[in-house]
Amino acid sequence: MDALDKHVIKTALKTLQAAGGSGIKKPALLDQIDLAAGYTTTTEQREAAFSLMRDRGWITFYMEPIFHDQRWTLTERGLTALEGM
Amino acid sequence: MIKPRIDAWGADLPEKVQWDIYDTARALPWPKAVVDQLEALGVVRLPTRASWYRFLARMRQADAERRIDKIAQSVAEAQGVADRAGIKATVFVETLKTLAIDRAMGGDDKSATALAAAAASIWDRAQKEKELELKTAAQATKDAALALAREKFEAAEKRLNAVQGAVDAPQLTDAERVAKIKSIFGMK
Repeated sequence: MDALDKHVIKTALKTLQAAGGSGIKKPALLDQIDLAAGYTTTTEQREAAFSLMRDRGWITFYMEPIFHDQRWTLTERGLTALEGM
Repeated sequence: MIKPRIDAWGADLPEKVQWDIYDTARALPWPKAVVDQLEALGVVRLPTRASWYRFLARMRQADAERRIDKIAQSVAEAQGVADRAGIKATVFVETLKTLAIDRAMGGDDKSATALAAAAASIWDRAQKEKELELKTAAQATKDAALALAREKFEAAEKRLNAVQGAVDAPQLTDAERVAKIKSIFGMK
């Protein structure tokens, strides 16, 4: 993972931290990953960054009860990872 | 995070101008539309293609940071609106926050606040209507109790008049009078 990858992941985690328990929808998070990279990323690159966070247990989702959307939030592990970055 | 070189194009411009350029010219096709837009914004030194894309890359990263601030702000504002409106329902407050976040993520933080305020007004109106319904129901109960009391009073009046009639009737014997009074009161 190079410095830009780290920056992208850190920005995504910071975004989820700001959203708190309300969380963020996946497309919005992918959009944020794209912005944080600076240059336009491919779908695969965005998905790779997302999968990395999900597979390491840094993010999790819940079903929003009113609109029935999947919203992603930061986990305790994710917060620890963010603090370590 | 991309660090701008000291001579990077756009780095010397005021922050507001940098954001104006980013917000208005980023989606335009290079070079004509971008150059026209920059000239309209009063930018004197026009960028090369490479420096323009480096500027965009830097601003995109700054935009990501800006969105984080907007999210935090929108969540706080939605919470503030909910607190001021006295909204206790957790689900409602959380929904307000999610709507505010979604708006802020779309770069539309102003409508996020407006949305939260509108939702709070709707909540306030709904609460008032509920209060009115409760008051109406309480009034209906009071009216029913009053009607019942009036019925009881009228029945008592009727019995009293009947008793008075029985007492005043000269043709009745004492025994008949007592029997009549007993029948008026439903006694055997």
